[in-house]
Amino acid sequence: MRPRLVIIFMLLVLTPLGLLAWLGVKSAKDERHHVAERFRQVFDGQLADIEQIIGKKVGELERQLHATSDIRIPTAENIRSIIRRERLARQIFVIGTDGVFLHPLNSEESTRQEREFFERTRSIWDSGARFGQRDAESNGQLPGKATQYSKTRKPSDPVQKLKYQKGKGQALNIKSVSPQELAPLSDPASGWHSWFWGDGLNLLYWRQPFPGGPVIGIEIERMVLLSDIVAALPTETGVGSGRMVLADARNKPLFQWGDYEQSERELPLTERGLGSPLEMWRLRYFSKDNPGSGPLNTRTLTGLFGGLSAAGVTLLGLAMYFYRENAREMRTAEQKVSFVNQISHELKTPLTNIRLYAELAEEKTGQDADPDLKKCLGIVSEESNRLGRLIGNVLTLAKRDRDAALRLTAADVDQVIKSTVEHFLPAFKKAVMEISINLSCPGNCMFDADAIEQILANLFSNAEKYASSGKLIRVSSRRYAQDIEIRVEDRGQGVAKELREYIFEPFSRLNDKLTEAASGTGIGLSIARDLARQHGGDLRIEDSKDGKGCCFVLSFTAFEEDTNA
Amino acid sequence: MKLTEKILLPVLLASGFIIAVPASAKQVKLEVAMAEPLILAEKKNTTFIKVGLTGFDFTKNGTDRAPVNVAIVLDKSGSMDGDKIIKAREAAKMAIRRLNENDIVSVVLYDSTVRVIVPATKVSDKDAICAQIDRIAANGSTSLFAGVSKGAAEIRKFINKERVNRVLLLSDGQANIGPKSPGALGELGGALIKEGISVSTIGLGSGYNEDLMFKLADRSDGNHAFAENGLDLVRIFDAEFGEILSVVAQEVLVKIKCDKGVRPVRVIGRDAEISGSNTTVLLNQLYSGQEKYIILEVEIPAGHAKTTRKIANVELSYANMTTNTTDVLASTVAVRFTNVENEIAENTNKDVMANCMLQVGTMENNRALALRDAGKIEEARKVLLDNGIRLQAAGHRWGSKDLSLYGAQNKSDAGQLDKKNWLLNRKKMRDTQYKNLKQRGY
Repeated sequence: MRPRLVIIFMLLVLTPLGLLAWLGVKSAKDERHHVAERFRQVFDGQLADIEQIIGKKVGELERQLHATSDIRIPTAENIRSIIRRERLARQIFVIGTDGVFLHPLNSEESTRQEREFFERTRSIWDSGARFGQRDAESNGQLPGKATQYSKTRKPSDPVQKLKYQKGKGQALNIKSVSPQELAPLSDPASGWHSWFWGDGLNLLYWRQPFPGGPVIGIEIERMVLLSDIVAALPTETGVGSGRMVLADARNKPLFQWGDYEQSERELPLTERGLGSPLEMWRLRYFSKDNPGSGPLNTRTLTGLFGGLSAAGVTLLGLAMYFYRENAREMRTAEQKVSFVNQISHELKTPLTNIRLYAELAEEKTGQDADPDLKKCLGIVSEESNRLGRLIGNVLTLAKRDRDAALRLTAADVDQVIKSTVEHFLPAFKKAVMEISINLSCPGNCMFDADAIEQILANLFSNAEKYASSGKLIRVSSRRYAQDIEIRVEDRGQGVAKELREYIFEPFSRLNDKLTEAASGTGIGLSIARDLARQHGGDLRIEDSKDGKGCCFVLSFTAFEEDTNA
Repeated sequence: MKLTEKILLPVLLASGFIIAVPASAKQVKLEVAMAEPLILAEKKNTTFIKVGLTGFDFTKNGTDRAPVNVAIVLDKSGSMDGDKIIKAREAAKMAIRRLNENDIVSVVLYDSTVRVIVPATKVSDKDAICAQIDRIAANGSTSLFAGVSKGAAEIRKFINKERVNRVLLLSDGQANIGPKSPGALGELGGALIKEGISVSTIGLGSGYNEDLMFKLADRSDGNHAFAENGLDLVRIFDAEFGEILSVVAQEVLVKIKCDKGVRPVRVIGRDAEISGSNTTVLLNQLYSGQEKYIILEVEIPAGHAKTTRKIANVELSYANMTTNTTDVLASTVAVRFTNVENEIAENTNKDVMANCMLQVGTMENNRALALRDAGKIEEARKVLLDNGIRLQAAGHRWGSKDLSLYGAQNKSDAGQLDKKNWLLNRKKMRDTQYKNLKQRGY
């Protein structure tokens, strides 16, 4: 009983606690997700601000490049001196109307730097990429070349072409653009082109001052571009103790600021790609308390743990209360049983005396005595027997928990049956019941005669009480080697199939008209089955052979007769 | 050869002439000379031209020195912890104490991030600046690129051609945030010089990337030096500041226009732009009393004996830091052909030849370094030993102690190629190469 109770109480405590914990964690996660979302919005805003700084810088540089590309007399000497002072320009090239390089030339006169330029940019010219619009395009002088423009701006678009031609004068008048105007210039005949060479992406800026005229291109000094952007970026984050990172295409940091040290594989709280021409770079924000990932933070966990502990204590208290209540009831019940037990013991001695003297009195009265007196004595004897059985049952019940050992003796099964039947004859007679006995289990064997007698007495008592309407009780015995089977059949109402196990439960009484009339304790069958099982057998209920009433089958194994006994 | 010719020849061959310069103002000294003024006739010759530029002296009390605009960019990554950071602080403070209120200084720290602890400011309250420096503690990784970028940004706030604009970078470790290749940092240096900003790089200890530091200084025409320990660092910092405070000329542009038929082959040890017969070299500055030179290797077509041939015109323009004017100087150089072979050696300009040999020897030293990098230790050793012998012989021949010492140094380098010594000795080799190629003053 106890371990089962403990398990039940544990379940009682742990199930709601588990449920609470799950709900708690879930709601904390939801909350955290919500907070993370808000965080993300805030930092998205910050990233957008940073992107704007970069955009502004790129705009500035673009205007600078625009001005630089305004070369009136593109001689080699001029261009070289521009490169000598223009930080952003690694190399400057000029492509003529016919698609042929005007500068640099791949010749004796070219410098080492110029020859290296052709090396670096070979993939561009090999791919057939062209910048601006060519005269040759209209008269088809370059049939072999694929018409492929830099991806940023396409002056080949007819609408743009038209617009561009209208704005021709403006395009030549670059220096009139106010330096305060920070948005990048939207000159349709200029653009960016990117290509891979060496250890990364390279950029060039091109511009075609006249439609169909020469294209001037500036190869960007990548490190200057990055250095200028780095110089423009802040060194501390505005709010939050996070880490802002400008990362390259492989997510390697190029520049970073803020107090937080992110680990190498850490995922950012939020990130943002940059616009053209720096689309290969990203801005990423990392935060110390990234609310969107990783384990719940300590504060949330502490709160959750506190709540759960309180709930646990309450539940445990309740469980303890119920457990103690239950234990008290159990104790009271045990006391009651022990009291009944003691009383029964106390009753046993006087009852034995009563039976003894009643029998003595019957003997002394003899055959010719007063029939009334005889009847009275018979009733006394019979009732004291019944009382004796009751007390026996109560004592057996009390003993059962202590697992009393069998008292094996050599006896004749049939003899035991007969003597028990004899005890009941007066009762059966009174109930007008016929008894038919068919015994075929002769000879001695080892078994607990008292136990078998008690079982039979319980069965007969039940038959008398509940099946007297059947007017017949049939008792039979059989033996297969050491297996003995005793059947007690009646022709009463029988027991419904679904209730057949229930009647063996202790203190159970079928609540119907039948049982209402008779008094009973509800322990008889339970004791009978326990005794049978203790004896290595069983007591079960079957349908009667005539299809009416019920048939109790007692089976048990007799032990080999002990020759030493 | 006649006596008169002997006297006349050098005068004739190195006759510098000055254009459009007031006679009273101090001038940078331009000396153009052939290593071999007399060359073998009827034969194509390859020889060297030396263009020497010497900064004039300041007045004795140094009051006429140019104001400076310096960004001190300090590595405060974790590896700097301990004595290194203490000495770095000391060196920086000592440097700042040498400045005056006309100068501008900024202090930038870098680790995994960059912080400008002293934004570009006039050096009026030295104590406040030093107090900021005293707070520096070392930790984190190394954003070298961003450190230099931010340092340059501080310089730009007050950039002025009349100031000496200099980023002074200290690093003891490998750059690990942002661009980190010598090439990338070289590109940055090459762009900074266009703004008149030089980067001087000081490598501390055995952990830094000497190629990166070399290249960054080289392309921006700053100085590069190796400091073995904290004490060394204080000395170098001081020497570097001495240089910065003695700049007499900036934006020094040298154009060497070779005569028709004479082909410029290469400039040894310096970044140059060679196009056809024209060679252009840009130096960011000249220091007081210090000679910087350019060695140009030229190919001269065959000539007849006893004839003189003009080799090149040299034009020099620079911003004079004391007068704040742009001064222009020019010179010309010629050779004379001879049939008498022993006359050639007799007439060789020993000093020029020694300079040339030092450059060639240094390039050879660098070749050995590349071989060692490629794992060819034995080949590297042989190159160094041969180089040492050649340099010592040349030192003896041209009467140059420097050459002999460098020869001995090469021999010693040959013994330092094993794994144990290489890390440190490679830095020392790079340091000496820089000193030789760029005529570092300390």
